Amino acid sequence: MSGFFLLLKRDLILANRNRSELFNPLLFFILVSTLFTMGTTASPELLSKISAGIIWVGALLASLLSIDSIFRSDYEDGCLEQWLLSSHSSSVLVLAKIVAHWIITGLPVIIITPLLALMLHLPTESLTTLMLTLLLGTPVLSLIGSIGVALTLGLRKGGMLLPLLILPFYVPVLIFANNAVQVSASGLDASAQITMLAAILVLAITLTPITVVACLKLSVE
Amino acid sequence: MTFEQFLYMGGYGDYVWSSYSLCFIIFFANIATAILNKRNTIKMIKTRLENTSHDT
Amino acid sequence: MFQFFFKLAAAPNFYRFSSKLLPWLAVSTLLVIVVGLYHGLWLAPADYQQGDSYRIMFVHVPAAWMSMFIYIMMAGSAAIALIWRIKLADLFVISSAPIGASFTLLALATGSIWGKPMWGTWWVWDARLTSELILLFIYVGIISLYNAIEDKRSAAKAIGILTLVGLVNIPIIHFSVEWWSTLHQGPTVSKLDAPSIHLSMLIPLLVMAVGFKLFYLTIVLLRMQNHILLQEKNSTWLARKADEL
Repeated sequence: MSGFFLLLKRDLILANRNRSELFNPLLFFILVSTLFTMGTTASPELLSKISAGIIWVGALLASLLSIDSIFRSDYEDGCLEQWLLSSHSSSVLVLAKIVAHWIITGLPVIIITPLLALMLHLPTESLTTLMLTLLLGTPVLSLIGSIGVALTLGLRKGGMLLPLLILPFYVPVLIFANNAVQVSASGLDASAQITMLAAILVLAITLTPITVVACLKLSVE
Repeated sequence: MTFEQFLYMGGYGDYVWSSYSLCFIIFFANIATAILNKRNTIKMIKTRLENTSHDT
Repeated sequence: MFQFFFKLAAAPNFYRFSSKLLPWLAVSTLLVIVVGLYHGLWLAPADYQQGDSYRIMFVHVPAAWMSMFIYIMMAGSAAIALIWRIKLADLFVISSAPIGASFTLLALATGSIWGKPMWGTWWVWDARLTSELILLFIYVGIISLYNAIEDKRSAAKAIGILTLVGLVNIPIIHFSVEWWSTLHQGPTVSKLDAPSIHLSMLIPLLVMAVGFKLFYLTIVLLRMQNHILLQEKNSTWLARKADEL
């Protein structure tokens, strides 16, 4: 267990040293959301209907933008191989890196969302639902994204392959989250969708680390 | 039904026949690529074997 | 009996066996599909509500069934390859992927063409259509990943894992019409209940489904043979048998 916290602390400290890099996904998130408003010249009524979707797509793209860095530098300087060979449980170490990634990218997104929700005229009744979906969904984005990164780590011309692999799996999360917010905006109970998101999160947390380790071992060969 | 009725498909002829042609095209593409790939591979292997046997 | 299957896991035996099987498969595929087409396009009566446009069903539904069936076969094969390390099972996955993608594309396209006269729209973002589209992206992702990795043995393992990860999408497609009341029609052919479709329409549907499966089997064996040849191009059995190919 100590390995988990050691790695987590290390990643957070490293991220803190590159503080400008830290803000990139967050800025991207804000930028994407505001671009939608400028590009569509939408009225407040229309915006309030699609604001949840805009925020979620922004969160998704921000996660996609930053996910490659989760293993990249450690792969390139050889640390990754050492961790896989070490006596620590590889799945636990992988989970530590994913948690670090979520704290760096997912958490800021969630914190800044109320501000964006205000800008995008999100109906106030659905704000808590939106926050809840982001809280449950952004870790899933980090988890699934890490599988994609682990698969494409060794490729030189990985490029567009990573989004192609990951986005199909992001879609169910997006659908449930958006559905939850739409339902709560019309005043109904969204607990079914929230439960589904929670279930997806639990499934992802249990199965992803071992999958990532298997993929990393392939890439590191 | 008559042949004209067959083609016309109760007014839906365009839709029905474009669907079936699409099916035929996709089937044909699968068959063609599978056979061509195999043929090319066999050709490649045969030339490789001829080249390496010349060295002995 | 088991001896037979064990021997089949070796590439040369499999190649020989599939070569013998292929002509039979090809001929029976052609026969079954011709019978199915004759039944569906000529013999079966027009539908009460949809007229003759419902005949698209005889292509659309089997294609959709195949898109999921092939993926499940791929996932099973990937699991076998991962657990028992049988190389042929790895080859089965990459051989099946393009065929699965083709059927998914066919299902989406014919569904869209059928939808236009029936629902008045070419596309709608309902649960089943969206998840079927995701399936297409997953297939394309699998094929792209395999092509991107240079060492084909690692590539095969990587897509094996990816296929298993994508398996979660299949229940979503299948049950989406039950979970969400959407535009797409609910399930009419189930394993346990009597189907809610008339026999004269059910028969060509099932015949076409069988025909499509035979087609899949034919093509996947052809593609596997190609991959075996590529994989074994340096081996001695190939050098000896080269003239027979």
